[in-house]
Amino acid sequence: MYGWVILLIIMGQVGSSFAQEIKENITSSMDVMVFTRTINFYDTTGTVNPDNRIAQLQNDSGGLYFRPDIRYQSRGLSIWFKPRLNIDVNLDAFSSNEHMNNPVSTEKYEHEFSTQELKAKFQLGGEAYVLAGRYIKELGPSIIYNPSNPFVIETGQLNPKLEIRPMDFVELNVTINQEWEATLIANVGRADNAIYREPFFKFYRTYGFMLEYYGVYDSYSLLVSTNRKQQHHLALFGQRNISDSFLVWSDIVLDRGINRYYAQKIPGIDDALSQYDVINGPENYRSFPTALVGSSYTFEVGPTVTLEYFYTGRGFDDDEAKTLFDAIDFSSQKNAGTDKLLSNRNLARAINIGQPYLRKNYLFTQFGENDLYGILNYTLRYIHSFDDNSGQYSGILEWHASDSLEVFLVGIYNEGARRSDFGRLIDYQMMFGLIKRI
Amino acid sequence: MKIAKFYYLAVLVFAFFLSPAVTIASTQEYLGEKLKQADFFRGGRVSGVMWNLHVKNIERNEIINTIDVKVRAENKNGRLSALISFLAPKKYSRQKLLLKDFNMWFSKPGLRRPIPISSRQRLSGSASNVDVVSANYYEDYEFTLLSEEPLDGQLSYVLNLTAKTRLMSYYRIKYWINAKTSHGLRAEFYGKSGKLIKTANYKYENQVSYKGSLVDFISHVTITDNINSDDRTILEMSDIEFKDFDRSTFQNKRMLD
Repeated sequence: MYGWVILLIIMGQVGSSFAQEIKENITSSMDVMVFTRTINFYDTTGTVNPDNRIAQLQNDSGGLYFRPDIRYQSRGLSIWFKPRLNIDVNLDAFSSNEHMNNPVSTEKYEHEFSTQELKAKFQLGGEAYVLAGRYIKELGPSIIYNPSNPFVIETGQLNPKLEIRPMDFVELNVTINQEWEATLIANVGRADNAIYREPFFKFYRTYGFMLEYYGVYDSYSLLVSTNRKQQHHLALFGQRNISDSFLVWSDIVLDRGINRYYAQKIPGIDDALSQYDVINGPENYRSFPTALVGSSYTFEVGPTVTLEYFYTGRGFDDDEAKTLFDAIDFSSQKNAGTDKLLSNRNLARAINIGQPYLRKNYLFTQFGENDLYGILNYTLRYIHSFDDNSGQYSGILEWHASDSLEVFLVGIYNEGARRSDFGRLIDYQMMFGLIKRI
Repeated sequence: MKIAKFYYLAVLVFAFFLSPAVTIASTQEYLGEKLKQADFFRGGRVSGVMWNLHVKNIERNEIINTIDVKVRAENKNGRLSALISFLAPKKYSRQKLLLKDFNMWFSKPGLRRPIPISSRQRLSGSASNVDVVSANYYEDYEFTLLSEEPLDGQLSYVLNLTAKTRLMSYYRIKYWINAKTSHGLRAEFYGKSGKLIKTANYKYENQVSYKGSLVDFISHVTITDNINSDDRTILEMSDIEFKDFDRSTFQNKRMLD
């Protein structure tokens, strides 16, 4: 009898000290974001989103997003957990404005629970660790485009207020010495990424090896990866400090086998009956070189100007782009019968072609400053496509109204013809919101 | 006999020319040791050190804001790594600045990956003034003795430090080192144009155990802006701890963790 009591007391104490240790090593914070967003998009016949039936965008929407950040760190184990609760409000559904672009949903509210990050790091001595879980794997020095990253398609920083979807990874990192690090990376799951669901790409596990060198003035990384679909990837990227204010970087990639949708014509009995198919086909099993060079200069008075140029072999040349836009024209007019399914699939793939930019040659400029007067961050950006003379202006303004309250404004304006990269879907969008840091 | 005379003459001539060089070399060595020790007392030249830093920005004798950061730094095989994590106020919390020698990255919530930055970019905004805590002068600067003069009643060596590379934030530093204790007492920071940018005065009131003995370690730095002399920044160091870090502490890929 006494034995059981003593055992229970010991168990209670062990449990209590365990709980105490857990409590002492957990830290948490939460951002609550509330916002409203206006999007003006093209939805006439002949566009990639006819009658808004493909992208199903909302002219006016709002949201209340809860973003907790919980972390546990003790000895060699660290765990991060970032659950998400997003409540979206379809303001179009409240409106009877006939000028609205074809509202597709009458649902006023939608909510979603998701896991933005759940990962654990096990330290194996001081020089190595294993990292596993669901998170976003980011690589590369560029602000706008990271061709060296074989794992994540959507790496752009267009709107930093909206999170991109994570994937599932396992990594083993070893620090060889002060200069060299090696990492084995396995992308083992697609998580909730829509781009790896029907009608888009099939997901294949990708395995990579990265070797990094850190010099006194520079750093370089070499990454190779492959998957079961025989997609091979070789990337070399690095950065170098030229002076106290001038920084340069580059990102050079050779892909053999890629995921990308392109259009092709299916011959019919006569030309009028020809159909188009937007596919991830054999055209993608050749070599695609990509090169990006960038530099930034910081003025003595504070702002930093950034310039990047990139050429991507994955982008479409004039003929390929013409075929794609012909396919969009054709498919946008087929909204009935057996053609409808194929047309809708083609248009969806024409929106999400599997790479952030459609064409080959781009110039990106950015001008911005952080912490102006201790309260203001601003960033102004412009990206230009040389191949179709379209471009995109964007700006991000963040004002710290108080120590825990941020007011932000994100604006994007696209210019270009309807048959161009930036002119094909969205005219402009504005997002205004508040972030309360708890 | 002629050979012996020639030999003595040669020795005399050689000694005449060599003795100042020997003196200069030994003085340089001595001052180099002083500079290394001064770097140590400010957190440099140790395999691993961590402290909390409380920053007070003062304008017209009023505190306009305060910032709390945690500094982790190590110097191994002549390679410097430092991670500055912003703790407060909340608007800066989770911002991080990583330095690996002259490579620098900045991260904050909302960024999808750490961005590479230059040292001038580091100096703008919330990280401004943190750079004067940098304690690698022996490695980063050439030095010569300008003078010996009393400062706060104690003899000090006044060194002229000139940046070895264009990557340094300050081209020249005039640096006062206490001749007896080897503590760096004052530094004047000059830009490339020769203009005085800021002045820092250092205090060493943290008693820390290092390799079995107590040392007087950096505790306060008062930085005065040369343009607005009423504007000051006070840095207060506390909770100093010598420790070895995991290698992942100083990895840019771990900054958003």
